[in-house]
Amino acid sequence: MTTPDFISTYFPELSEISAAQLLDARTRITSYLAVTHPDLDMTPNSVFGDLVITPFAHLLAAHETAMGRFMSDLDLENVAGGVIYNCDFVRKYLNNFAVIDRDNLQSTGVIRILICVNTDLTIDRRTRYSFGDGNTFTLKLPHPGHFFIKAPTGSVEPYTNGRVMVPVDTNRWAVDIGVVGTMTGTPVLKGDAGLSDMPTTAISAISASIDFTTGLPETSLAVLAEKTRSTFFSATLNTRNGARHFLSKEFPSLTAYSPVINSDTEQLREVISVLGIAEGKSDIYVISNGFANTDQQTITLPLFNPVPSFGNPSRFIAKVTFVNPPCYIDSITSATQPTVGLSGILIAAGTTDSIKAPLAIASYTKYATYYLMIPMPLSGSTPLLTTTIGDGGTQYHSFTIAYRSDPMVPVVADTVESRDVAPIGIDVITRGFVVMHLTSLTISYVKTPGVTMALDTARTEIFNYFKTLAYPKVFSTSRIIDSMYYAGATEVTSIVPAGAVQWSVANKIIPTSFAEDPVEHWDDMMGVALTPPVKTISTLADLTMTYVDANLGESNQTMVVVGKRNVCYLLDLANIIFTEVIE
Amino acid sequence: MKGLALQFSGASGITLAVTKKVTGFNCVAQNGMVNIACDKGSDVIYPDKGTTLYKDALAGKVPTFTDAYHYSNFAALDTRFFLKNQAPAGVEVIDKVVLLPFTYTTAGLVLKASFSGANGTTIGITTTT
Repeated sequence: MTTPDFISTYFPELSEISAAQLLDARTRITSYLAVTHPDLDMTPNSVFGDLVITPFAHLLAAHETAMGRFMSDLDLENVAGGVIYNCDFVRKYLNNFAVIDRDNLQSTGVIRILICVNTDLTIDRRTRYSFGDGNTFTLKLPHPGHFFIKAPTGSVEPYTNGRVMVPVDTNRWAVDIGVVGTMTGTPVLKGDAGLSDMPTTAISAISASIDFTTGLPETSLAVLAEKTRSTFFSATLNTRNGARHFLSKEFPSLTAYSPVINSDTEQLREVISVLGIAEGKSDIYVISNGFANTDQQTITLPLFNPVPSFGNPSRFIAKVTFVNPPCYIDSITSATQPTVGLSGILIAAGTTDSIKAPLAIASYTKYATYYLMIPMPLSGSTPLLTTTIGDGGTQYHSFTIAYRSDPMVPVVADTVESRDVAPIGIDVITRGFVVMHLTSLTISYVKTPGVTMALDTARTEIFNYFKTLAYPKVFSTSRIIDSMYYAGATEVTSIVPAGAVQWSVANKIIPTSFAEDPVEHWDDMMGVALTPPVKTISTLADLTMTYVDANLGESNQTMVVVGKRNVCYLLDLANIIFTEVIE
Repeated sequence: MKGLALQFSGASGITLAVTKKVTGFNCVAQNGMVNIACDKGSDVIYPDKGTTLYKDALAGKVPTFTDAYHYSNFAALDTRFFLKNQAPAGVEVIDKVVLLPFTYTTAGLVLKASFSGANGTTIGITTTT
């Protein structure tokens, strides 16, 4: 520890000390010493008085002022008021409360690395990515070491920085990875092309997956102190507010984050040990400004039963890996024959970690695995999709999946669940919010005759409201009514939502007891697969529903749960419908 | 009361007599001597400490014995009041300070000083005028 230079940091200038202060200090020194040295002449003009006591009086007065300043730096009320004598000390002092401004200036985003080979690839962690002038980023890697991109058949070692590449079309693969850096130039938007300072022929393109978020302005010590006074929470994942504080600091692009901990309704992973002690569980739900980011992949599926028979239909089945955990699937179409209608598509969801993320809990996490079954469309008995012949005579067809995701979810998961950050004794999982998919929101209103309604403005406001609506914000009609009034309505007569809770993008959930390969044993799997309950939305009260799996604890439990702490809303702009009521 | 002694005479001027100490009313007298020699305002803690005698003399305000009497009286008065205000407990309180010019030499003005306590103790050279 460096010895603090108290004189240069806290001592006042000698000229700042008033005669009254000096006299008071001298008098007290004299009284203090008189107890043990009653005969000592300490009066002014005496040798000891003038040459010892008086200088000591200066020192004492200065020291007392310095101590007052030091104690002021310890008193966060004063610091919050802007009175700071030693910024370095206060900054370190606030670090004890885990209140830091270190990462605030960094901009964040997610880049997509497109690869033209499907073999393992190592990217130096020092690689810098630039997006025009003034925008330079480095990989946000939670673990030591470089970034390993694994071949599609590979897997990532625990506590290493890695992603498995995912095919996005017939000869290209992709990974998304978070980046941090400075963005002083033109803001980086989704799709912008980037450059690497360590290019390799294996990488064909680098682009922004989402709109990047500018770093927050530097938080002053006074603001930090005020924050510490008002709510002292450590920026760790041990507590709900600690987790919130940590996430807000590390990931400024998150629009909402909701830690669900033991005894919360939404916490279904809580396990009571034989000693009656609950194991610590924390489900951290996050949603970023990149939520519902549209994406699409082209995947090639093998055809099972090319010659169908009764009970053995011809169908395409494969395990599908997404670049990011999907939160909604818009469409699945043939890549080469998009006009051919597909029906009877089934998606089954499994998990890579049945203990940490069993059943529906794996939904919207990086632990979810998906198996896709597409029946071969027929015209009579004639297959409508043309296939290509691959190794061993297997027939294949390529399909395009258009889906939406939040690319920040795996980025947050990498950090939150890393060994350095995850709290000891608490099992942390990072999830996207459970999606309440609204197929329509019909708003009926009355307006004064002759008034032109600004419906586009209202639609955009309502769209943005739902897009960022997640705990601690809870749905309220007031925002919608306010937007309608502002747009010109005199009354809002009704607001009618329609939709359903989407527990997963899959139709079926594979039970943890099923150990076979779902692709090879599709029918067996479907025989035991679980169907999540259907919870439709038809009233405003449904938007704030709380529902816990009715079969919890039973063999057919799906572990679905929705409540105020883990719900978000997916409402497309076009699905906001206005109806004018003529009175 | 006791304190470190000062040597007021000698080639080096006023020096600290490390091996000697002053006690009782001698401390008061010694402090009075120091006060006379100090400039008023030289101590930020005690604005009343010191006199203007030395500065006035250097400024040429004391060309005659009459002037010397005049300024010495003021210096004695200031010193008396200051010593009385700062009188430590348990020591005879100052009652009278007499400061009179004795002679002019080539080195300067020679003064005679005496300090009398309330109990009658007198230290210094008593002079009548």
